[in-house]
Amino acid sequence: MAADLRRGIRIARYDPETHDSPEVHHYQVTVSGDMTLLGVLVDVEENVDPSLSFRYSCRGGICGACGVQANGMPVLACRTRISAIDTNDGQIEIAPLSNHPVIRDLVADLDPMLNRIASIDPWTQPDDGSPGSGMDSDMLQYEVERLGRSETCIACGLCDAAAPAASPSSEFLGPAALVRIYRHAADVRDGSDRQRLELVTGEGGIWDREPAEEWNVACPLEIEPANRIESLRAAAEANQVGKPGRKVSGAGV
Amino acid sequence: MEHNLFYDFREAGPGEGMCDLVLDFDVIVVGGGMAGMRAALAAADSASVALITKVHPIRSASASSAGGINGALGPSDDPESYARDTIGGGDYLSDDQPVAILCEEAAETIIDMEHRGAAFYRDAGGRLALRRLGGHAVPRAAHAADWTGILLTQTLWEQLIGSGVTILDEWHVMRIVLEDGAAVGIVALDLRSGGLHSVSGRAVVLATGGGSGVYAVNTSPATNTGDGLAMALQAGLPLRDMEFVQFNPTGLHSTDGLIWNGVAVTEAARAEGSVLVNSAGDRFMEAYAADSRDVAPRDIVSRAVQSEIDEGRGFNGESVHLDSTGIDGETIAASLPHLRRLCIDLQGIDFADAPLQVVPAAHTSVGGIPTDTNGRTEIAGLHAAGECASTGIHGASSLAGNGATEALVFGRRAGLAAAQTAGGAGRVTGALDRAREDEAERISRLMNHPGGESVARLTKDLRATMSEGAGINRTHDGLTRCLDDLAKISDRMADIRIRSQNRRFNLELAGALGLANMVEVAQAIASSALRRTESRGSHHRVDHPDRDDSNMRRHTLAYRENGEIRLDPQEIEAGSAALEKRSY
Repeated sequence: MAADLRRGIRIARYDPETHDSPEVHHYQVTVSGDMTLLGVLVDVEENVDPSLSFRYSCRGGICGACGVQANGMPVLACRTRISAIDTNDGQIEIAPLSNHPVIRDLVADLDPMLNRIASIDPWTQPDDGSPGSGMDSDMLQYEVERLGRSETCIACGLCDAAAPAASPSSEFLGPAALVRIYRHAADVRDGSDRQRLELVTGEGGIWDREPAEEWNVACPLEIEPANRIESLRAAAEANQVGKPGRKVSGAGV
Repeated sequence: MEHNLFYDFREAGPGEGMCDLVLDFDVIVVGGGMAGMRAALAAADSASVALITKVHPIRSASASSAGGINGALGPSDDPESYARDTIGGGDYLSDDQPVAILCEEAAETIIDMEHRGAAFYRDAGGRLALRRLGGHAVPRAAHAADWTGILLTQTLWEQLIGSGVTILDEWHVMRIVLEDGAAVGIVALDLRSGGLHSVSGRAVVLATGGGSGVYAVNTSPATNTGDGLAMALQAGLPLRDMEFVQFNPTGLHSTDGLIWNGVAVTEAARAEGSVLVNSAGDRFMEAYAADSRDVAPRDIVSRAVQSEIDEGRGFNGESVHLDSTGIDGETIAASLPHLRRLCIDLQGIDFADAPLQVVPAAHTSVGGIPTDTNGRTEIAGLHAAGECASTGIHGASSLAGNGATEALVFGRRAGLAAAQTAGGAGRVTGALDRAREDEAERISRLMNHPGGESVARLTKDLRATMSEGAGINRTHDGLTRCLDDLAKISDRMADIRIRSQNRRFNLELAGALGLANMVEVAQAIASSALRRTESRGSHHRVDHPDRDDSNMRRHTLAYRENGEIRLDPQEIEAGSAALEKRSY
């Protein structure tokens, strides 16, 4: 067990109703390296500053509610131990998830991302050949695995928060919505692969940004969004959907 | 649903800038887990539906139900065998008819979810792979690795997007509004804006989950505070069989009480070969359940773990080990990949190499709001489904994997019945407006009270009190003390001080509202447990160690009247099953 010690933590505070820009507040807290970042935030709220706002629910890495930036890296606070936060000088600085609007303090507004996901008609659209009720569809285990865990995306918003993803104002669908398209396009039970590929080869789609390793690193479910999006690119090229030769806008948010 | 929304920019208080909404739908579903989403989907075929929830539906507790969803799908399985296991697992307190419906409709429910897109794992023949969870005679849990709950919640959300259901998330529903004895709507605090909204509806479906968060070590999300259970009590409904609290035998143990303390290690781990071991190195489940050992029902395994710890065979007197080092790497990678990564992140332990420390953690409410098999309660227009409901299927202990099946089978039924109820009647506003005024005053009183009690302190005290007096092993004296202490906690709540006046995303305000509900749920649990002078299923009385079929094979109804709990027995509706002593 790591020893308890007093250390500083800097938290970006922001109330868009009353302030034009965030302010960084400095707190002294007693932490052990075993504590998760969520434990520290709860400690600050309960014992130091009751006005601090953040979002959390399951405490165990599955609900995707507690995403924040820790020293610039998007993480789920509940599954990030203090000792695992990358720091040069011992400083820890916590900010709301990047690339999402801020509701208050560390509470990001994930609605724009959820709306981008909703915009791609993210439900299974069965093939004509799908069976009627009373039997499971014709799908084999390797075809389940071909989804590459994209079916487990919890829409926590971490990949979208990792540079270079979408800025709130850009047309880019963002890696979370593109992964959702992959999830359905790669599903043998789904009959609208071609329409889905046409959708992602348009404005704001797979050719809008180079898939970034940062998205893979950020994903707590190990979905590897950049790799899934590379697969979408390969499928679009192989099937000559869209305009693969189109200029790629490159990195930079 | 544009035509259903009309905005009312009431005076919201000086400088708050809040906007209070008045909305109208046919059906209001409260709670966004599997049961709530399934109910909303079913209702949306013929009604306008609002799904109102404290957290976005995909962030519900349902997402963590990892082990699987039961249905009689295997070649050697049928609904009758499934029903036998469920009734035996429930220690013969289940009602026959709801169990028959559950077991009949389970398989088609799973197939329906598969058609809607849930990518369950397959066996070598391409059929849905099945896993044998605790208490089942055969494999019958459809699953995908250890993320079944994620699949089901994500699939339901995707379906909701295409359904026209209006999702109103991060709203804390404060009250079910009644007029002339019927449910006519709800009042909710918008956690983001601090606004207080009223929504009228011809039918309300409660799908708010259980109340296991009242224990010190629990698997519950922090946002799960038994709100629907408490609101049902406040509306005059009883809660049934609340003494039965399902403990998960393998909650992750944190010696320092870190915030992840109690987070569930999925049932899938023991189904895939993880074994429980005490400090003497013994696989102790052999002594408690010679045949089923580590995959005996959860109440039996939980009691065994607690006994090992209490009798000095735990590690540091605190926990036992869940040893997965005997499972081959391929199985771990295929079946438990998420859990493995989670434990590495939380504890730095790779369970492929080293055992995990585990303790029993309060997991689900076996009982809840009594309903018929279509989710109807005694109040017209008020329905309940999922963990907050008591359909009568679980008896005294719920089998692993039955919670997901229940949520989907009875969620759908409740949604259909609610849409039917919603036909006809007109919109009612008088009672809603009055209720909204009452709740506005309640919040204002809470925010401005210059008290000395802290929400965090009281929540900790409540949980410690319940674990001490109403945990796995119970006695008359312990439960009596527990009820005394709960009364004191209830009194202290009147003196809560909310330290921050900002209403937007005020964690302490949300915590205070949740705590008030948790205290009522806790009182229902402890009172019901005191009355049940026998041991059955998940309810174990040290002073009454045997099952008493002649006097106690009845449901317990707990009503709240003038701040006190009143208890009544209710006959069960069961005939056919032979009363056996459970043996696993």
